[in-house]
Amino acid sequence: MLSFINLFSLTTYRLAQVAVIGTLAVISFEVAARYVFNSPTQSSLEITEYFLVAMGFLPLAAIYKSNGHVSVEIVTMLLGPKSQAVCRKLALLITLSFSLLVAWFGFDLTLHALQTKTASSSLLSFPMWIPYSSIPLGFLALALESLRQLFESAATKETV
Amino acid sequence: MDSVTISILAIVILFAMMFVGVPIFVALGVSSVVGIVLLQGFEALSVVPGVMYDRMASFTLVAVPLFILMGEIIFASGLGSDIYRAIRISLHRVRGSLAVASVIACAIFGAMCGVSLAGAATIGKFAIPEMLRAGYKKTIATGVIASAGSLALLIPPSVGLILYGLVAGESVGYLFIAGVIPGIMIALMMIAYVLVIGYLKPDLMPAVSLEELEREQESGNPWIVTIPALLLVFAVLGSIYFGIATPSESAAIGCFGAILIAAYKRSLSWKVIKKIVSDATRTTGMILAILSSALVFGYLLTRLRIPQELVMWIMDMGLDEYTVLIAIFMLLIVMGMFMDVVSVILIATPLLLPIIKTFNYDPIWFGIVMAIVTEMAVITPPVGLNLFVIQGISPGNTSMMTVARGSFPFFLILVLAVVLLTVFPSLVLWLPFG
Repeated sequence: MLSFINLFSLTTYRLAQVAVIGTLAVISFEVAARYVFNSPTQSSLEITEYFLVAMGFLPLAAIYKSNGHVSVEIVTMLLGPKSQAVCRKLALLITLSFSLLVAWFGFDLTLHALQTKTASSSLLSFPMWIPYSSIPLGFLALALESLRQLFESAATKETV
Repeated sequence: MDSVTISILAIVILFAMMFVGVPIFVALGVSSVVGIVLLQGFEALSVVPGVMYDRMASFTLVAVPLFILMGEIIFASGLGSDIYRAIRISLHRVRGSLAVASVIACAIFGAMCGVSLAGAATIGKFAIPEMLRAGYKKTIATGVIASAGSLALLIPPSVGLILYGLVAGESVGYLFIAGVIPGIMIALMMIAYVLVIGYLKPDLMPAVSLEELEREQESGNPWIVTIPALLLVFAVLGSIYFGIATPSESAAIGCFGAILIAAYKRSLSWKVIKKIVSDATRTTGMILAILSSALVFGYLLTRLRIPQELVMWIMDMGLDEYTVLIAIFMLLIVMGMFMDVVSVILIATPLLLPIIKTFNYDPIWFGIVMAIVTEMAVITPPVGLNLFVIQGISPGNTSMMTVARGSFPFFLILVLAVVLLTVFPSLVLWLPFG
């Protein structure tokens, strides 16, 4: 289970990295096409927006794992070790609940787009379930990561 | 439940969760979710992913990851040390030359990087030890870097200005151009302060020894890479100013220029490239996570008509515009003392902008002033991001209060800059609007 969570988190993170490189590649191609070859493309703008959504949601778990999300620590730092541990568990529980909730409704949105074959209104007619799926995937990975950390902190207490 | 009670409850939940240590994006998301449930019922939560998606899939925002990527490439290339060395060698006759060079190097670095940490960390890593070696007082050496590093929040390309532009619905290009004169003005004010202190209290900033300077000059001409870097800055900002390229396109141009400079400096190994992409992904993800939740929070505020209620409440109180402005600036500074810059901009803009518009202030002007106020926030304890960074990279035992004490005169400079820009708003608006 643990290796699955790690693999899932790593996969979503790698996809986000691909999105970063993809954005640079697509915009650079667009710049060259427009200013050098004088023939702007029709769909680069749209593709980069999909990449952007992937960059926003897919790396959530990996960033959480490396404690990279911004949080206010000034109050918890003033507390004793026991209270700090309680706050940490509470924070993990809240993160888990929120990410499960968004993953659930995100899955609903994605499934609906898939079932109704919703596509973008542009010439590209891109199937919208693909960019929508970044939301449930990213938040599911975050839920699993916070669950892992929750178990880890419970196990640490038992060892102590 | 009425809208005022729901909004108070949402804000109480937001702060309670933040103080428990919940990541800000989760705290924002949960308080929004609670607000939406209280307002429209559980079923209404289905709008949450839709709101996140619709408002985030914006071409304006594409500039964010690209400018972050550009900053990471510049950061990894070691260009910061070349810029600093080039300036400090050129200014060696000036009293306080190392501190002046630090301010200029941070300003130039800020014109290539969208976040304040990179400039402060990059320049500070070698400038602080050098200043301390030359006999500079620790407060000056650390304070000048922490404060000048914050210029990146204002000097374009600034990620904060892109986010403000998105939430406020203003042109990012105009915001970038509007930040140029205030950015240069504040850098000059900081330099002037350093020069005056260097003249009045020479023991705080002793002159650099000639031997050290000669040794420095022997290690190659740093202008060889500094000039292309400056040309890159002009290419990026010039293409936006003259309407040749959008901010996202100019960011891509900037990335390619940065790659060329880094390749020339032979600082791009496979390992470094992987680290650049990894760090850019993390920073982008962290910012966009806060943005996505802030968008849902903004949606809730709009449904509750809170900005309008706030405007009416202030108008009913009959306060004059300067009292309101001072209250707004104080609120932003206090928020910045506990939150990061991105959160401050994303939470405060939808609430405060309608008030600013009511008093007929230009939203572009407010974006720039807000960026300066957030600059103050990163050098103000207890949660001043630049203070932590400088404390971390300073040699020996440097307390955060030492850095904060050194930054305080620069905090006052930023206050003076806000006053100047409020009295003379054309300093902000002249360049974008003529």
